[in-house]
Amino acid sequence: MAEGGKVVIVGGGGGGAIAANLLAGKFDVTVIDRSEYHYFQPGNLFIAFQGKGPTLYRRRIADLLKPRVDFVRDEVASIDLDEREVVTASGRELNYDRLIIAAGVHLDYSALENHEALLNTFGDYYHTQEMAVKLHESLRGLKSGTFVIAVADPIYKCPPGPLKAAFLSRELLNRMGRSSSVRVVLAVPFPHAYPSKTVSDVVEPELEARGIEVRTIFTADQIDLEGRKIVSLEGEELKFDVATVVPPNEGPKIEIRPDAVRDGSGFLKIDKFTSQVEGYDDAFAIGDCTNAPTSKSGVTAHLQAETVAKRIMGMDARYTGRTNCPIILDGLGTFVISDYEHPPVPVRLSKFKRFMEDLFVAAYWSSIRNPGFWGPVFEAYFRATEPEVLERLGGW
Amino acid sequence: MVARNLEVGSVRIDEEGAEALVKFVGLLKRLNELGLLDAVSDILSEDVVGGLAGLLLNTGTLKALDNVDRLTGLLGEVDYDSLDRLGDLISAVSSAVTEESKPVGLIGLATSLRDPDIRRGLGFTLNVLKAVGRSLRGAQQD
Ligand SMILES: Cc1cc2nc3c(=O)[nH]c(=O)nc-3n(C[C@H](O)[C@H](O)[C@H](O)COP(=O)(O)OP(=O)(O)OC[C@H]3O[C@@H](n4cnc5c(N)ncnc54)[C@H](O)[C@@H]3O)c2cc1C
Repeated sequence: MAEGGKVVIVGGGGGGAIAANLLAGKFDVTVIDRSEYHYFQPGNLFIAFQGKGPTLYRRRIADLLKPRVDFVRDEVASIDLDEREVVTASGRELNYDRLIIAAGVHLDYSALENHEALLNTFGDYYHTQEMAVKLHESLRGLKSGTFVIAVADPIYKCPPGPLKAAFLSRELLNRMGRSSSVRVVLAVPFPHAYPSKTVSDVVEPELEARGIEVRTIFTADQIDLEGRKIVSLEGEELKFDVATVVPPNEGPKIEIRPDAVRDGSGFLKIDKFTSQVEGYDDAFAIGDCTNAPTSKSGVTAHLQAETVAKRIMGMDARYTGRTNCPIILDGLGTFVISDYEHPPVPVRLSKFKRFMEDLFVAAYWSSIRNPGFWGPVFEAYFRATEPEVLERLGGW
Repeated sequence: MVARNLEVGSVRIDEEGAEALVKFVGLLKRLNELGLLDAVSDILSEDVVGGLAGLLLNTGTLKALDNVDRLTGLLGEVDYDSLDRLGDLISAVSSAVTEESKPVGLIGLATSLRDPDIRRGLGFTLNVLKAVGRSLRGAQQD
């Protein structure tokens, strides 16, 4: 028995696994996840649009966690914050001294009519690896016509996801000799290609140069699979031959008592700096499942996991809202760099940033398994690229 | 000879794998003899790697690295034959920077023009100005 007490972590994805490995040995840590595997979700893009093999982008959760962490493979059904109790679908009851909820988002494919049918027809790059493989096959089979990438709600994890899909699918189709026979259309609910104008200014010329069409203020609302068209909330239509729509994102499908700790979309209400669940000093929520006013991204989950681990170890730590979401296109990359105090700063596209992103991807599994080792390296990078500093210098 | 088709955990090692493994063990033994395994293991500590990252990853280096392709591209434009003379020029200018200088007015300037070194310097400066102007004209026409 470790001295610190019992920490239960719900979810062994990006946030949960890092928190567990940082606390391993100092507390009795238990991670509960319904999935056998931890998925590197950006990998879906490489599977769908570069034909990469799925096994590259998944690891067994049990292998990613340090030996002193207990892994329970089960679905969490309910959490009672007052009773300090977590109950699983198979009836296990776990009590805790500290709780970390890191259960990610629930992707709601039932909100839009026919969305599930669309998913099963063409595949998708948000759903699962299997669906990413299917989308790859759909694109290989698309000899001519239109590939539409749309979004159903302005709040979704990894805001640059659809942009990356547009660039990478264009690259794939060009490689298959379909540069003029297949159009790629990116439809977004924003007035620009990306929510932030600063970032849009960087990427829009690149979209245009590659002939990627952008439909702005288009919030996918109805899917007509027979008629092969998507209708937006704003009343416009978009025809497709193959399409994929990012579904509305919600908080995790877990019964949490009291219900007051959740917002209207089911996200956990937290203190945005400490990740403490509103009203509870022994419960934290990190990563995609919270209402923190920043991008839902792996970087956010990682930094919040470090903050919470430090706080549980008795240190004072605060998360600044820092994001570092990559946008990649053929040979070039940029990052969306912002925090609670600063909207995204201008960051130009460069070969070096693409290389950095490739390095981040290469270091992913190691950084999950050994977050303590990588911590100071990432810290140096984040300090060197603080939004405040970059803003003063006119960007990066 | 090594056994064929060895099983290690869930991994099956074929003949080529076995050959690689034997070489690898040889390499490890050598690294161990030299004490390098210990050194590498010590270097790969949080403190050393973190310290190195803190030293090398700062706003300045990241900005420079971000432009490394442009900078190295520029290296191709350099007239390397002129580098020696440029080197002399740079050291002459650096020593002038540390010499004490007096404010000079129009009359002082006119008197200085009698000095042959100043006249040579002025000729050179005019050459540089001409080259700068030519390059600016090109940039403005782009
Ligand atoms: C296509 C795509 C590209 C992306 N690209 C990037 C990128 O380049 N950079 C970046 O920073 N981020 C990126 N992201 C976002 C990133 O993957 C997520 O933000 C990150 O995984 C969030 O971590 P998390 O721990 O909050 O949730 P997750 O990693 O989603 O983990 C949640 C875990 O909880 C488990 N779980 C959920 N409910 C239950 C339950 N009831 N019982 C038991 N277990 C449960 C799940 O099985 C899962 O393992 C991308 C996402 C997608 C989809």
